[in-house]
Amino acid sequence: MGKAYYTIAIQPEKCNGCNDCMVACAQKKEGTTNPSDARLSIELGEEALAKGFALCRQCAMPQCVMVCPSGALRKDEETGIVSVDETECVGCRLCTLACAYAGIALHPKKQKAVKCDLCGGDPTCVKSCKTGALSLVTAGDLYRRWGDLEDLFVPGMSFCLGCNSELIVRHTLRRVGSNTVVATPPGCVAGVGAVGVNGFTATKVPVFHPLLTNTASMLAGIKRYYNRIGREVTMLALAGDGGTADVGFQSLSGAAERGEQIIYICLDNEGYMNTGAQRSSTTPFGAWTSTTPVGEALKGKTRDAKPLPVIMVMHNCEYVATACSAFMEDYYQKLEKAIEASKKGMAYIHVFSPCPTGWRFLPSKLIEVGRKAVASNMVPLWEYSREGESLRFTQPVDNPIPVEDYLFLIGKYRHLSREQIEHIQDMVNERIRILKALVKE
Amino acid sequence: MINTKYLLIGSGHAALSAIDGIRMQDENGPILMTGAEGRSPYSPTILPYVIAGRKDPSKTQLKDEAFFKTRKVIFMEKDPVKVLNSVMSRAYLESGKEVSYEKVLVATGAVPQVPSIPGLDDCPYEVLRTMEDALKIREKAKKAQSAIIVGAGLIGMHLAEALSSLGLKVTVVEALPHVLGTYFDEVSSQMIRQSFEERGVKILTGCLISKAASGDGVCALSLQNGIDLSANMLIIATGVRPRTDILDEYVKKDKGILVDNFMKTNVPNIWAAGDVVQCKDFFEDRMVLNGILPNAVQQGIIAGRSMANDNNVKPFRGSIAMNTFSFFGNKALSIGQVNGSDNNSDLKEDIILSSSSVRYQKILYKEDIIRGVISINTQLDPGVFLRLIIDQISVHEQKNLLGASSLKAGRLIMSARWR
Ligand SMILES: Cc1cc2nc3c(=O)[nH]c(=O)nc-3n(C[C@H](O)[C@H](O)[C@H](O)COP(=O)(O)OP(=O)(O)OC[C@H]3O[C@@H](n4cnc5c(N)ncnc54)[C@H](O)[C@@H]3O)c2cc1C
Repeated sequence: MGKAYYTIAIQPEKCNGCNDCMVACAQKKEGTTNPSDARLSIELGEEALAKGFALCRQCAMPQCVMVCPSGALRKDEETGIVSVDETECVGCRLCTLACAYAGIALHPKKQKAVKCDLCGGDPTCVKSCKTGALSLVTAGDLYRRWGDLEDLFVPGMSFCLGCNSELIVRHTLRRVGSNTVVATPPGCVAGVGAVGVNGFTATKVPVFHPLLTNTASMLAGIKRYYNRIGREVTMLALAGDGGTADVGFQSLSGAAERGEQIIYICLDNEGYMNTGAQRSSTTPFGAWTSTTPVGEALKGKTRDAKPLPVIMVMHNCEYVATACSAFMEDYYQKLEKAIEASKKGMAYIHVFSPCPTGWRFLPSKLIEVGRKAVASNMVPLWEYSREGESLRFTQPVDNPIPVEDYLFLIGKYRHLSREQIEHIQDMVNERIRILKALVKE
Repeated sequence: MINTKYLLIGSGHAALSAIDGIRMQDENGPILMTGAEGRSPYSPTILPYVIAGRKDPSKTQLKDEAFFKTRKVIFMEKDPVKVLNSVMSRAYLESGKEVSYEKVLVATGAVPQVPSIPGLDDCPYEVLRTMEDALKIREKAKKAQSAIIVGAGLIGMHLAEALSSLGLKVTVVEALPHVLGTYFDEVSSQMIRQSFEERGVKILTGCLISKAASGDGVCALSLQNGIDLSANMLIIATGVRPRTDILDEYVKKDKGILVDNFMKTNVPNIWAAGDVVQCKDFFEDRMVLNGILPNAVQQGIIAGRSMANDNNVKPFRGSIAMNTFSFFGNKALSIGQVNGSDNNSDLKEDIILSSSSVRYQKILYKEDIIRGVISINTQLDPGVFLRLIIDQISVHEQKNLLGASSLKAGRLIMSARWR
């Protein structure tokens, strides 16, 4: 129980409808080249992105198995593969009624249920897919795969209850790995003890504490030294929005312009949270902070947030992306790309980092806040790579929810007037429009 | 006295599903499951196939020992519960043992409902619910030339095919005007009936039985319309009724055990699931019986999770009639509401009918939402349509495609909803 198993994942936007997967499957399973003999199916609808999939998910609690009256279906507890024992199947089709993914059907000639069995663990369809639309992943895969990697932060750092940044920095360093030098300028991450208490650091890799102003340039210098002595070491900045968008911006901008080979992660909690929740240039319009209070005269911040990630796109970075902990898979994919990109130049990821303490919401709402930020387009998730020469939405939102559905989850927005909400909605719409203009069709 | 945290009474689909439901949340809480028949768990649904010789009775087990071992379940195969004392939280077993439980799931299934027909009690008639019933029918069928089946529901019709495939002359007697009336409309029901008749199965609908008699290895029925029938075997398949006999008067029952959408009874530590319950209907505000396998599984999972205090368990969405029915190589399917466009004007039908072959499809809509589907030999994914009905997805723009190209349209609509 509680095990993560393999399944085939589909990224519809990558599928070009070539049918190679179906032909490969038909060949392997039926000895024909007829796509309709395959155990998966991808059909194109009229609109470009409309695709209809029929494919087994190898569910964790497979309904097909549970409704089978014949004991012919089972999920292998080792491999997780859901398979049919054809000799025991009576062809009653209750399994087809139980599956909402069209993942199991009756073989037209044999009159027995047939389904994808992952080819025993090495699916031929995935191998045949040239566009990468099909991939073999495990359910809950990421947490298990990254869970197996060493957590390079020690336990017991003094993050606040439910801190998003703790989640992000631990996962980030796991993935980036031990061959890394970390820079954490003044901010929450340094403040909770990452750079050391009583002579001990909280990381199991070299870490240093630059000034708030010079994180990117110090990392750049260390990287150049390692390059000179011929060692390939990854440089990772874990900085807050103050150290990135405000005080540290000059050195960041310079390093990006020079194409320094570093990964720079900005944990944007929209203010100076460890020093008492003061405003920063990424604090959104209308938000309460201790320096943009809510009272008779003032009703929160009067200026819009600086759109730092877009600014970074215009900085010759190799790779720029936005991320959010409610979409971990998305973040991991971006980290992967950032690691590669940092071998050539700067990789910058701007992580939305809701702060239960400073923004005033319950820690248990953290993921919901993240989801709604994305669903409302307050925090659009996208990536830009110089190689791809285009910006791409990684979690496109077709029908965004109104911003107020997001705003009213959070205490720092509770006072907002109708006009302020409208202002925020207009700003969100405008920024999406600009982003969309950067997408190359 | 045996102590357990969870007691599961019955070893059918509902109880087995509850095991997985409990273990999602509670990895170690002791689970004790009692069965009545001294067999590995099997499904009543498989029995017609056993009779037809299409399934080896020794290979019907749903779960093997490893299943119980990995889930840490103690399964007492032949230790039926005699009485459940809801006040004491005690189960008294036929064997004399006593079980004290924290929480109990009643999943005792159903028993055949036998109508009162004068003379029937003196006839050697059969019913079909347990493996023992099936083995008996199979043995008898070897020596018989003919059989009368009373009831043209799913079990009756399954049996009719099974016995006629064994070479028996079969007559089906049904009181209602159509066969399989709960699942199929007039046209499709007629289509199914015709297939049976073409293979020599005699079907008499709209017939009430006035008396039964037996003698000389023959059972005889007299119908109210004057027809007399006789055959070597008589099988009663007129429906089932929940098996609630072990419960005391403190557990609320109507036709079945009354449960809420988390499968809870009125007694705080008693849950019930499967054929034994009467629960909310999906379409209408009423409590219904609906003894079908998919319901037993769904309810079992929900009951298990609820018993283990799983906060994320979603309530049962209500009972929907559904079934797959295969007959002589034809494939029929029925989900949800399939009748009612005539007397209920806000339901609209989209029908495909081919007169030359056994092929029929009807999708029933209420405005833009699918309420039901019938399909005979047409291509669609049953599970996808069930999901469209349950999620009440508005399919306005795809309506035409759904009728004409159901397989593709269903998949397109479902896939668009996954991201
Ligand atoms: C011939 C036939 C054909 C069917 N075909 C279909 C079909 O095609 N599609 C469909 O959806 N459904 C079909 N069904 C119905 C389906 O089998 C039931 O809905 C399903 O089995 C219900 O599961 P359950 O766990 O509630 O009950 P069951 O599977 O009946 O399990 C109940 C178990 O409890 C045990 N038990 C009873 N009393 C006690 C006691 N006092 N102590 C301990 N144990 C006890 C019984 O021995 C039994 O094993 C069919 C049923 C029959 C009989």
